[in-house]
Amino acid sequence: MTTSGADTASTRRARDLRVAEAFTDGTPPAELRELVIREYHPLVLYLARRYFGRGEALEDLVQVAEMGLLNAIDRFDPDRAVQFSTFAAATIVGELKRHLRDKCWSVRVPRRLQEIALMVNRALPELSQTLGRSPSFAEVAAEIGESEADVIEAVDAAQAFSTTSIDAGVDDDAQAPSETLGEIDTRFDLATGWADVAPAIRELPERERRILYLRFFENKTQSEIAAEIGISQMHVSRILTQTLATLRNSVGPT
Amino acid sequence: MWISVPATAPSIDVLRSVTAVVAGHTTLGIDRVDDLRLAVSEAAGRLIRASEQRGTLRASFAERDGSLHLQITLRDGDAPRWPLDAEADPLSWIVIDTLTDASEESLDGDDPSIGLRMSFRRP
Repeated sequence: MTTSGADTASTRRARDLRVAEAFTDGTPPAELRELVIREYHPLVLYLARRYFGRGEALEDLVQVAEMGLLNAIDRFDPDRAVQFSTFAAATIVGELKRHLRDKCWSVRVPRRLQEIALMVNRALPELSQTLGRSPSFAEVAAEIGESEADVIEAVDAAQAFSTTSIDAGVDDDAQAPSETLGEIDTRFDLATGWADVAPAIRELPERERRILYLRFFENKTQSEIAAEIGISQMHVSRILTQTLATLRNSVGPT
Repeated sequence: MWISVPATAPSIDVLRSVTAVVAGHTTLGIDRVDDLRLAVSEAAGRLIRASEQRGTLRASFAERDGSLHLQITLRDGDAPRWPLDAEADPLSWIVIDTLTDASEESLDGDDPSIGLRMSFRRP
């Protein structure tokens, strides 16, 4: 993950090394916190700015990001292979998104992440076909020439937020379905565990119903469903997430 | 590695993002990382509902035996009934069970817990 637009890679590496040492060499907790807060202040500002312009004051976003950094310090396990900066960025972004989702519903994905998500969307079908399986994030990152961390963040953001532009241009012509909707509804009605939500499933749009069926009854992967329906894997992911939330709401509060 | 968040509905977003980052840095395919995110949402939701949003959720990640293991445990909360088993809240269990390679409700000491496993190679 890029930690600061202004920092060079060597500056970031040196900072990561200093902090990694402090986590393991017995530096007192208060001193460690002070060091991390000082060293990663640029990361806090950078991530807060990324989510600026969506109805929240920058200083509020910086505060949320700082809170995320403090949480990351408390939660980080230096024995794991993941660098602190990667873990901290994920925690900070998580806090920022949670804050924005709570505060403003019109959150959109930052342009840079949208561009990466778009590249991922374009690369996925061919890469999946070449490999004969769903590629890892590292393989996708290598294919499109972006960092693994940026690709992870872009896909996460694209799946979390409304990103109509990312899906634009993907062939939206559904292929001929192999099962009728009546057959699908019957399967849901009769299957153990689905009875409570069967009425809500009948209220879903046809495409949502079919995607749910393909994933949970036909056990098809998201990539296979994407190819069958004619939309992107990320779009399938988002539809599944939203559909499950809809069904959850139909049977009671979260 | 572990993360601890309040056992409240908004925390699910944080857990999903951290799961995406940790799982994304493994060799799991993008499809499977997303399956795990969905399963984590349901597992966290199950624990949150069982405890009526009291306590904290601790999610720990470990790579071993060719798999990514994730354990989500409710701490300092009170879930009067645990394990819930598949008949209670069946939708969330179907999602968890379908999307992961192994899943289990258990007690970690006295704390309600859900374990999830994703193999790096499909069994």
